[in-house]
Amino acid sequence: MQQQQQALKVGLEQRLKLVLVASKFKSFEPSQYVDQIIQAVPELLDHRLEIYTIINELYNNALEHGILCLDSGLKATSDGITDYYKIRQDRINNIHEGQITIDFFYQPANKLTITITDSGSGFTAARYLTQYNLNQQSAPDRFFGRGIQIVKALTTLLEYNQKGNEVTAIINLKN
Amino acid sequence: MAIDSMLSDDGKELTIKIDGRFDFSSLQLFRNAYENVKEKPDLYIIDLEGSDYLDSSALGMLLALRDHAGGDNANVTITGANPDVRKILVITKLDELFTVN
Repeated sequence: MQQQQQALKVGLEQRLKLVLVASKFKSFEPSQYVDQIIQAVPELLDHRLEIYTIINELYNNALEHGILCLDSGLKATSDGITDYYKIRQDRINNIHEGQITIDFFYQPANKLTITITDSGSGFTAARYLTQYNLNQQSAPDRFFGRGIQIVKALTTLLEYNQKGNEVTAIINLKN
Repeated sequence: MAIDSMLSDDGKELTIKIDGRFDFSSLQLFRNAYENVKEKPDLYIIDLEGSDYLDSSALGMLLALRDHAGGDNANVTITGANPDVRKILVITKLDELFTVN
């Protein structure tokens, strides 16, 4: 399967959908996709960084946990972090199956919906993490869940599906 | 992306300067910057003036440095953070664990 991209103009709405197959995980950079979004919807330029942050964090979660089945527990120590990213790279180099879809939908003048779906069996911690970060007690020095915490702060709604392999972020932009 | 480190003459302060995007792609360079110092300094200064962005992987790396430097007894200061970087530190409450100037 080839990487597919399509930009559909529906009235003033814009949809930019990207399907990444396993062979593309090695070279894909979320920033390139965000550049395409800005190219398609130039009025979002001022929001580039928050859009990038949301896509970067959610994509890495989908890849690392949904597809590569990496365990965040490794990240408790410096050596563990190094191991984590070494295993990440090894698995990316050897993976032949799996797919991640990023769907970006813009409804003027200020609503963005970003949906990221992976072909994994479900990121089991996803729903837990979403609730976990709502809890103000969560220790700031813990070693996981910070990506989701950042994304939650930048979005109006952040929701995983029941299976845990699809996350939807809705952003109401403030201009 | 580049990382420079500089130890003060008395060996008490280690400044690590990060340029460009700060994330896991600079993990090894970042670790080298503080692990290759023979004696642990009293103060670590992370200079982010040349860094316009950091993500959650970089935050994990900063926490690993803090742990290396003594955990709750560590003295780690972050300087030069732009408003976007500062916002990320506040959202994740890392501004409570690091001195942010």
